[in-house]
Amino acid sequence: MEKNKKHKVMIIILIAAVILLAGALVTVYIMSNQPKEVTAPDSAGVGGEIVDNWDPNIDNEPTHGVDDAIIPGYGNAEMKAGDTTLTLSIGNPSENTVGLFATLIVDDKELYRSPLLKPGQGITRIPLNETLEKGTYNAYVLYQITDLNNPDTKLNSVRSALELIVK
Amino acid sequence: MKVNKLLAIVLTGVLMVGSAISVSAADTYTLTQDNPTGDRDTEVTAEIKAPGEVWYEVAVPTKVDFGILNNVTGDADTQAFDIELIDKSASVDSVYVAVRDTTDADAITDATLSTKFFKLENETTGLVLGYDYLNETGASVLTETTPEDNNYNYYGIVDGLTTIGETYNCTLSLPMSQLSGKLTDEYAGVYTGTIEFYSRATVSAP
Repeated sequence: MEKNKKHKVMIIILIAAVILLAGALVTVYIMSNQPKEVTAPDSAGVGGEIVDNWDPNIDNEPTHGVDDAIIPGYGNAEMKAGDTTLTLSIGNPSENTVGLFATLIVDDKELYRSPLLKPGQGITRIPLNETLEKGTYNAYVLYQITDLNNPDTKLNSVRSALELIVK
Repeated sequence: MKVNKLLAIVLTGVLMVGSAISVSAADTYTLTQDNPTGDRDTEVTAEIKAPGEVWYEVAVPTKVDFGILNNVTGDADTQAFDIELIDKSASVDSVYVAVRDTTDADAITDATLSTKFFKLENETTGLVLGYDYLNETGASVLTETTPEDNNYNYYGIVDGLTTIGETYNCTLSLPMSQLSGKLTDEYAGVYTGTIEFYSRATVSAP
């Protein structure tokens, strides 16, 4: 009799444990489907790859004229000495109606030249054609504006200055 | 005894699974520098850009077109345009914009012009016309500002755009004295030139 009572208690404990486990699983399922905070886009793409959904990650709506071009600007960029890739978000904002060619110039040397970037296209991992030693460099991204229908036609250009820190 | 063993195994499994669930439940929302307690109601109030990201955007004209020049009696033909600060992050105090001096002084021989002017060229004949940039006060950027010390001969247009949506009105001025008495077949044609702008962000010291 006592043995049966013991068994019954153990079975009740077992059932309670299973119910607790099921409840925990349901709770986790509900919480994991809540909307998550938006984090910055991952810039660790393939070196040299042009993407079609390039985002300058700036939220304000532009109000520029139809004959204007929106050109990105920078503060600084960082890389390690000897690296052959620089993380730098170069691109043509999707609001533009012109093409852009982007050239990275460091100490008067051209380290990268992009193909034609159509509106919305960009690159975040820049393959460099030479390495740099430790130091701080004056760098520029020279954006050459072109006619999308005739990319050989050079229009105005913008030299966006930045400080390149090589560690 | 068998029931005891079964119970022990099941309880051990429940405890293990429960531990795994409590670990994964901790990362269902992101802890950030502005949200260290994980409180989802905390708002991020400042956006600091990382190196290599886009810190600001400016809008500039894609081209400048003086059209057909036929007013030889006036002082200058003018073309206005705006430079606009489209966006900037909290990392940026202001954005400085300049234009590059592309003047080839030897190519501009008209005695009525100063030696430093920006250049328009007729690609067919090679003939050159000079034009100037005027800032919002009507002063020439070539006479009012000094070049950027970067070996590129940039002349400042705007000392600092600080507010998103802020615009700066510039004027290109083509002195018509260059064409006085010269509207012949020799000077007829299309004169083109390009503007190279320069932009730089000013950031606060950390």
